Amino acid sequence: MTGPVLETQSLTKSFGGLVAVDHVDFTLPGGGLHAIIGPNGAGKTTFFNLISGFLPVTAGRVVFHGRDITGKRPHEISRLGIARTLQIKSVFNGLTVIDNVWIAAKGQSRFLHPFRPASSYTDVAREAEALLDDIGLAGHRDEIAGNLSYGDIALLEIAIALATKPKLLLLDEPVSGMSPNETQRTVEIIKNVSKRLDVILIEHDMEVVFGVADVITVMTQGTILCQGSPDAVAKDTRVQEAYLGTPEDEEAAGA
Amino acid sequence: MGRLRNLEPMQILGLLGALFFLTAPYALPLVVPGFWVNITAEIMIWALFAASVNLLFGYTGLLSFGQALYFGMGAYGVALSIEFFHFSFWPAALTGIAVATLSAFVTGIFAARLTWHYFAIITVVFSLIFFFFAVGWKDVTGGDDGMPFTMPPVLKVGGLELSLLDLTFQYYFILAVVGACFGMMHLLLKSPLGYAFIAVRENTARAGLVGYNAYMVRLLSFVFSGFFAGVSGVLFALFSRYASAHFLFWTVSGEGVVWAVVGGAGTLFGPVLGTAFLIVIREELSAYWEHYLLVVGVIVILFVTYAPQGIMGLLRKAIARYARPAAGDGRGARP
Amino acid sequence: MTAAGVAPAGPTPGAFFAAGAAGWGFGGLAAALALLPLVVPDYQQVFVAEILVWGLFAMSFAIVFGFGGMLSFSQAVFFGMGCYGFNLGTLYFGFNTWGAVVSAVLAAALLALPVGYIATRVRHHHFLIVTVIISVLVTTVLESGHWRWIAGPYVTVSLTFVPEVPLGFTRFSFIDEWVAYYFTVVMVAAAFFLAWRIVHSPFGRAMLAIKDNEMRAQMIGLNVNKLRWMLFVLAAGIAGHAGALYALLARYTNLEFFHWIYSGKAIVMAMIGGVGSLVGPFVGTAFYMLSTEYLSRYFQQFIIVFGFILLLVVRYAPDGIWGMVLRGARGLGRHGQASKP
Repeated sequence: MTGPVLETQSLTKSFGGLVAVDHVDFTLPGGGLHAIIGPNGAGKTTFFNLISGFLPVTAGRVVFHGRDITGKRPHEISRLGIARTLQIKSVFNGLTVIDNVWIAAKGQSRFLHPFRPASSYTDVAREAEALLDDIGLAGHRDEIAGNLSYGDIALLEIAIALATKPKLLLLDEPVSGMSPNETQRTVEIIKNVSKRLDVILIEHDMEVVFGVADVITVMTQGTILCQGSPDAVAKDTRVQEAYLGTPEDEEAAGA
Repeated sequence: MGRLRNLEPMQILGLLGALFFLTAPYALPLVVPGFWVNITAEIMIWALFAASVNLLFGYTGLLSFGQALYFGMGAYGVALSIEFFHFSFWPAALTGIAVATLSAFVTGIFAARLTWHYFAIITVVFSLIFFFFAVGWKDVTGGDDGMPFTMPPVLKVGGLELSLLDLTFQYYFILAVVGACFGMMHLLLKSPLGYAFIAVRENTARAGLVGYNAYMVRLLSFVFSGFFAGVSGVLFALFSRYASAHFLFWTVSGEGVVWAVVGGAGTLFGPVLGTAFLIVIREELSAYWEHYLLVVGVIVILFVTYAPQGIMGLLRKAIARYARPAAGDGRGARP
Repeated sequence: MTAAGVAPAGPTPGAFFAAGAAGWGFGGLAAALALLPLVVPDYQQVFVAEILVWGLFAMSFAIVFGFGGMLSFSQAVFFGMGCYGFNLGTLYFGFNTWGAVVSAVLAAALLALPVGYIATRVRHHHFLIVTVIISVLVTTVLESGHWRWIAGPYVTVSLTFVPEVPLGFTRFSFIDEWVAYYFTVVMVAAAFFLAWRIVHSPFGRAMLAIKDNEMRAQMIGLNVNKLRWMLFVLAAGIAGHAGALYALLARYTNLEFFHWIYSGKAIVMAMIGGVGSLVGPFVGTAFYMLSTEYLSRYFQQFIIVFGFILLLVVRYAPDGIWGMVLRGARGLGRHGQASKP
């Protein structure tokens, strides 16, 4: 593999007058877990939405493994190997857990056979089962996804994303709203996954981010403020001002 | 007998239903007047039509109020190719199906881009356009009066001639075609494409994120639905020996929706139950009271409001209440 | 949600004309409508009045759909009820024109109470199905000879006298086109401003919240079904008002006005104009009626043309013609108003 996994060149998105992502040049060299942090409204999720084709790009380019994917639709991008989870958890609520994963695994096929029984695709079924085992949802195999606990839905969403066999996984706040136990489990899963494929993680939980990330990018107001190892980012005074300092200001203001 | 005891209550009901349809031409006249055989044949045709609405609505989440368009296309495909081009039976039937499927494809290119509100409206508009067209082009379509045609034989080998004019043969012909279509639909819904329909219905954004092209999936669903509606239109034209602009009218579309919803959208055989239920009501009531439509309307509103899962949903609930506890106890006895 | 969401509207009385562009726009429009009879011939005045009436009808659909998220195919029933109520008022009770208009609105709203109660209990596709069924039921009842006593002579009627509008010590007769014109303009404007106030009131805001996220709206304490019901009845009243104005203008009413095809017409006109605002439906109606007036001379099957126009609008400009205009205006205005983000 030569060249970066993902590269954005002067990527811009504006909503009317508001510029949510402002000429972002971002490079993911690959091989490791990359986290994006930043205060609310920094444009992190919009950045993901541009990469995954959820939103049309205003200006700039997205290049994935040397291939320009700007303007491609979500399903095309998914087939090229980028999977993502959403900030507001999104699964097939009315279907069983196993069907959720099965459908995701089959979604990559160009041809959907209209008459061959789905149950005859034993390879797909095996993959789906194995994935549920890995992620720890095997016990909920036949439950309706919508009835799962919030933490389990978030895990199922990761399983769905992994079922598409991505090269790059975008996780948008995977542990938000999880109990400490669930968070720990999810962090383990993310660590394991990041050994096999490239992961970009948006997260507000600093403990998680500084625990797992190899590289951290800090975004504010639609631009990249700085980028570096967790230690370097933690020491950066600009980050402390722009981001880590904010909660203290708020506390001071509230008091 | 041992195996029968292991059947789920639903499967038993299904077998009874199959038995009924298989024996109707001989069994029905023993208990009710003979014309009920023909009504049963009609129920099968309309059930297939309702199932085509259900494929879109129940499985893909798209409510079409213009399904009559493809029904009418099928009917006119048959009628015109027999009357004007003197096709024999099979080519005519295939023409009808092909015309319906093709028109579903062409209109689907536009309609499948839209979702619920807009999809419902655009399907109504499409069917109205073709309805007015059929009414206006009276020389060819016969307009409101319809155009009758002479029935060619289904099969002619030497001295043997099979024709739909033989009512028993006609019944079994319809049963075979409708049965084959339901078999096909069963396969379709259990296939990866069927799963894709459901995935798009459940969560379009997520389906896109795991690689499904929601537009293509909707379009395929639309075309298959048009195909099944076309087959039912062909059968109905052959059954009633004429085609009319009224086959394209919105009331036909509306009836399809109502039958599917009352029977239970999202289930394979729900539309059969809904169609049978409402057609029997129509036949029974219309003899005494010309305004049976009011009763049908009230029934539909009651179903939609209080039992949105339809007859099938009620059946499942009843089975869960009365049949399952026994089964559950049996299972509970084992560790 | 373009116009409604963006157009500034004050919750206090009198804020209208302080509302900048919207105020100027309405002022200009009012002046144009007031001066119109000076420049166009009589028969065209009536045509403009007709556009306003059908536009009001289309607006009643935009209220339930654009603000309530309910795709109603029963608007025509309430338009028809307006005609029926009007005829009942004039012919049976002997009311004057004002009384007859009031009875029209009441008739439509009264029918909308039970209909809306049932329909607003269900959602999405099921709402659509219920409203279609209800309009079929109503037409069936009115069509049948069996219940002739319901329809009586009050559904399909041609007025044999010229309506008069008593005002103070004088009466204005509809024999003059300008009376018909101004009366319609004033009545439509009154209904429009009432609707405008309502959709920009806290109630209207609540409806937008419900349309956007019903569960969330419920959690902040809104009684969703009741609010949907209220909006439904309100829109029905406006449709009934339009029915009465039509009955006055055309001096005839017909059973076919109850038919859902007329609902479909309202839907098409409103969607072409834009359902996200109250102005859009009028724009769409004007577009529809002007083009059918001039196109149908050359092309009998103009419905086909409209099918395609609707297709294009829905696909490329879901906020309709008016939404496009507003977007264009905002694009131009941004240069001038740099201070307002």
